[in-house]
Amino acid sequence: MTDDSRDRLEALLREDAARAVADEGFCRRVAAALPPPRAPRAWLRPALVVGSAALGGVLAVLAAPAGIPLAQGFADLARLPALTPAALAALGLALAMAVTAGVLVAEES
Amino acid sequence: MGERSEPADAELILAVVARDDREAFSRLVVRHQSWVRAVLRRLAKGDHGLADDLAQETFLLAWRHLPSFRFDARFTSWLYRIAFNAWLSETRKRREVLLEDGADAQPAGEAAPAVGEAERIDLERALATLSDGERAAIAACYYADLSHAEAAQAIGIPMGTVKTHILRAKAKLRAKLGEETR
Repeated sequence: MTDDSRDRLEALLREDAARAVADEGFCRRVAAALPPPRAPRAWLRPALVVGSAALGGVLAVLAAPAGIPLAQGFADLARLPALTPAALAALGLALAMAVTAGVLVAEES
Repeated sequence: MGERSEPADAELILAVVARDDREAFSRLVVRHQSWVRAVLRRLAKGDHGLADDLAQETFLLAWRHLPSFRFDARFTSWLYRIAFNAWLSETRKRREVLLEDGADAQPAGEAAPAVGEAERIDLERALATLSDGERAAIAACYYADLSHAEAAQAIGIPMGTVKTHILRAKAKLRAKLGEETR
């Protein structure tokens, strides 16, 4: 086996390996076959807003002096049909939060 | 103002993982498609249709598994392993694959692509007669430009076996190409 034949084979392999394979639409086909983009997490923002509002409400109630009508209102709501003014206020707050959530969800979708 | 240099593979990979960036992935495909398809053409004994199907599967698997790429190996080596496994899994559906050692393969009847000068066609035919392990080693070290250690890791055989495969493959190729030109 001669050095020439060694070098020739080495060169032939390197040359063949370096030869570019024409794209011929390959990259486009790969791009088209990729799975669809990840859906943005539509629920995240509304959940954060509503969650923050709810947490704020709870903290406000807990931090408020005893006997605040809103706290009494939630307690009254739990004993329906005791629709006291405080219960109506609590119901109003709950409805407002629900509407807010609904609007945010509708906006996202 | 200097020209903006091409982003490195690592930057593109991070863009894909962090932002689902399809344009970054397309750039990776454009950058690596040529050698991936060349490797698979060699592994598939010149069957370009099968090689391109496997190459597409390779990139789709790469897309899916990019978040698990740990940057402890070259991207080329990681991609070669995916391509090799895609070929291995496809070939094992039809026949046994011997990577450690084995009998010579029969020349593939369908391996006759129109790829330029006669010498290249002779080389392609000669490569198709190598055993699976020898072809995998040649494809890894020449067509994917991996080191012997990287090739051993990607193929899943000892480094000594890779070296043996390369030596035997070259001896067979020289003999085959010598026959062709006589």
